[in-house]
Amino acid sequence: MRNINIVLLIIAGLGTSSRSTANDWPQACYNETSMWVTNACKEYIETVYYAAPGPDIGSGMIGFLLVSAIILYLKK
Amino acid sequence: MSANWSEKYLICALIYAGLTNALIRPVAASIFENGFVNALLDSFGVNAAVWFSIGLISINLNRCGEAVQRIQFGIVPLIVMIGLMVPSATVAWILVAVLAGWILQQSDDHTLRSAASILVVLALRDPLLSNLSQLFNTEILALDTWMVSVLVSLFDQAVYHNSNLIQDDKGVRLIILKGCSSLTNLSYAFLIWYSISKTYAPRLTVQGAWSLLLVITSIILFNVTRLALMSMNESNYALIHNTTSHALQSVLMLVSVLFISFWGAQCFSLRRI
Repeated sequence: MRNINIVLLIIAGLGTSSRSTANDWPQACYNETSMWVTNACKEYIETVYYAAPGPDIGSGMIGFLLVSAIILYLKK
Repeated sequence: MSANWSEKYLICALIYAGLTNALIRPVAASIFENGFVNALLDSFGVNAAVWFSIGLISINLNRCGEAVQRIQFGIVPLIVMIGLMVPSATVAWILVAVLAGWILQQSDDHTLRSAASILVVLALRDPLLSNLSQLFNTEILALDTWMVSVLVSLFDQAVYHNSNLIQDDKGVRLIILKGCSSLTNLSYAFLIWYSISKTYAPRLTVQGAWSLLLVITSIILFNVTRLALMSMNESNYALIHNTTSHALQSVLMLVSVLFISFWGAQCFSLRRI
């Protein structure tokens, strides 16, 4: 019973945990739906030439084909 | 009463139904919006680490054989079965985690427990990550920024960090946003390491612990080096931040994490290479 209690506690915790919002610039400049909230913010960021997400591990076709090949090999 | 043949497949079918429910939306969206070939190029909108851990769960379920038959079908699978009718990926992940927790409680077979443990980590990765990144966003970005500024300073460039900004005397050089942080890649790397470790070395060994440390260090070092090089000049940024370079970096990270994790699970010896 211990294991399932732990899982349920984690799930309950995830559902009720408080969500903080970082107000420091430049986090205040964007949100989940729109990267740019104000034009002033957009202009400011564009003057600095770097702001974009990095690559995810194993994203794209090569990663997918590689892990598929490994799984097929391990299943033999 | 022991579960019979059909009940064995009912438990497995529930696991796969939960995973299908959780993944059907991004996969379908990827295929319908981009076409099959482009969806394949994007690993069907789901990270390769997720597909890999599902593959290892499937291998463990195939191996466990009779163990799953000894599980008594109870109220939890019934609730999961009903709950899976709700068309929501989040609900499906939570139900998969609950089912996996129930299997952990019911079985002492290590192969079946390995499959269930990987399921728990897979199901809770996304909600844990989004909560962690929301709760500690400022701190995580500040830590990344500090490490980048230290590395850039080693190359005799006078920079300093302020919150999530890398600055020099002329102004802001680099902004480190949520997507630039190592946290997402760390969670995928941990998923790969955990899946391999649980499948091939269920008990944590010293080599396994070292491999985890190596995986974490390599992902952080890779990201910090990438950001540091980008912050040095515009041509570096253009070179590192293009599509080809992104693809190369993601494959490099994947190969190194797989290599270190299989080494940690003692699937091969470095002396034989």
